[in-house]
Amino acid sequence: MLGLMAGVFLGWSLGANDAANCFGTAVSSRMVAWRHAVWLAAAFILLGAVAQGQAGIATLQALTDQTATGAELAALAAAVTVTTMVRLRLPASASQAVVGALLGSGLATGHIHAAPLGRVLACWIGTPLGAMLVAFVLYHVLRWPLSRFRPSLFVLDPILHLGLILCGCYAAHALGANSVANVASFLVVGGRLSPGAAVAVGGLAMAAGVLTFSRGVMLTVGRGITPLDAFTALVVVLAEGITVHLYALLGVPVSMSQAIVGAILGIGLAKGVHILNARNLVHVLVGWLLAPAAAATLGAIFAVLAGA
Amino acid sequence: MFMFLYRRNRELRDQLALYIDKARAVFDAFRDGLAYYREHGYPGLERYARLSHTDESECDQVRRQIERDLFAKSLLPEAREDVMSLLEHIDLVINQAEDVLRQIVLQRIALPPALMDRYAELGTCCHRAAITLMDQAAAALGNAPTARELGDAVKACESQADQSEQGLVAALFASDLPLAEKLYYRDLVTLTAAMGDLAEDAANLVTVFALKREA
Repeated sequence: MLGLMAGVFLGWSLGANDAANCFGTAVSSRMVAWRHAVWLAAAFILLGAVAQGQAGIATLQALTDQTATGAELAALAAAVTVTTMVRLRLPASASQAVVGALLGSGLATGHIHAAPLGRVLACWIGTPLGAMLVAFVLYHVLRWPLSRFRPSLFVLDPILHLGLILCGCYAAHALGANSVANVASFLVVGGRLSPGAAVAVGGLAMAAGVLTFSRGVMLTVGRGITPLDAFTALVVVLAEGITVHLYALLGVPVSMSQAIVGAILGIGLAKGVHILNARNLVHVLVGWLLAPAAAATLGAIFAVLAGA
Repeated sequence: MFMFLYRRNRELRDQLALYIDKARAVFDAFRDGLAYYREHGYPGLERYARLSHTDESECDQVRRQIERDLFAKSLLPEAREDVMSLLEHIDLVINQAEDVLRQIVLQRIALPPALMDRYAELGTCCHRAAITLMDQAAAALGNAPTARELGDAVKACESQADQSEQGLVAALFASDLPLAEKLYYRDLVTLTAAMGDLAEDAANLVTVFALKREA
């Protein structure tokens, strides 16, 4: 029961925080109404989770040998870490907190597998770099027809408007597909739930987070990226969606926030301007180190206490 | 879905085109009025003042309709603000053109014949600046690549208008007219030249609008 509650809470927190990466720019700059954005995000997160969310479960389960109790405690450690870091306004990646909690728990009990860990770490580093590359390429590819055909204001704006909605939906789908494993991996331990049911529960928890608590984060994240114009915002959202979706297909949950930072960096490279400050880069580095380290420590403490 | 959004914008595009046409009509009334004034003085100029006022009122109506509709259309928020700002700035030029004719009529200003040619030249420069501004606005709204060059052309017209204004004021104060008359005529010259300045301000805005969409 504790594992289910911790998992659902983690999913709710994921949805509330990460939906901002899909529709934040569009909502904060009033291109898309918040009430439309949250329903679209919730629906597509659930769709992504149910349709393509199972691949990451195996990866997370392969990191350690967990008992049902161990998984519950690791889920609790991850949920507490993410919630505390969000409350402290520190960058927190749920994906990385979950891996950290599993590793901490595994280290404490001596059941850890190094091989899948290397793959996960490589994907973490590859997320911002991949998003940067995808954004750079997309910017040039999508820019070309605009420069060539020069559509008027009255033609281009509906295209961008529609594009922002479609890309936001796609990014939400990718978020669901990628991140639901963070929740579902705890729910399947010990055969409590089947993988299909676990991703459905995880997807619903994430959708609930979007519907109930995403507004503040969406506006804050969006305003943080507001210097982007509509076209650039579209490229950023599409690039982060593609990147995160690729990792979902590979079965490695990664951080959407870090993908968006990489995508913005890619736009800066493409435009030849500096549109990312050092704070954003520190954000990525801290996210890489702090969340997994904190979750690992907490996971180890919980595991030791449970063993005692 | 795209066609649905585009259809909504097409109405807006047509309204903006109508606004620009009406504005051109005001400026043409201004041009014709000044040509008449050069030949005949202020008596009979009411016809042109009335015509410019009627066209200006129609412009206002179209503009109000655009402002009402702007938020129901699918323009992005930044574009809406840009369009609103564009209309506000063009409106100032229209009002100035109308005001020049109205003041001549109301104050029965009979400019000395010796200054009339220079004044006509000033009016021509201002009219050209205003009409070029309309061309620039139409180009910018259609994302045509000529918007920037047309902005430069407006600046060139304004620069000529400035020179005409300075020459006119210098000639005015070098004349034997009483000081009160000099000040009285200078006010008309300044009022007319302000139309060129306002056109330049609007052209700068339109240039930024065009550059933003090119970036």
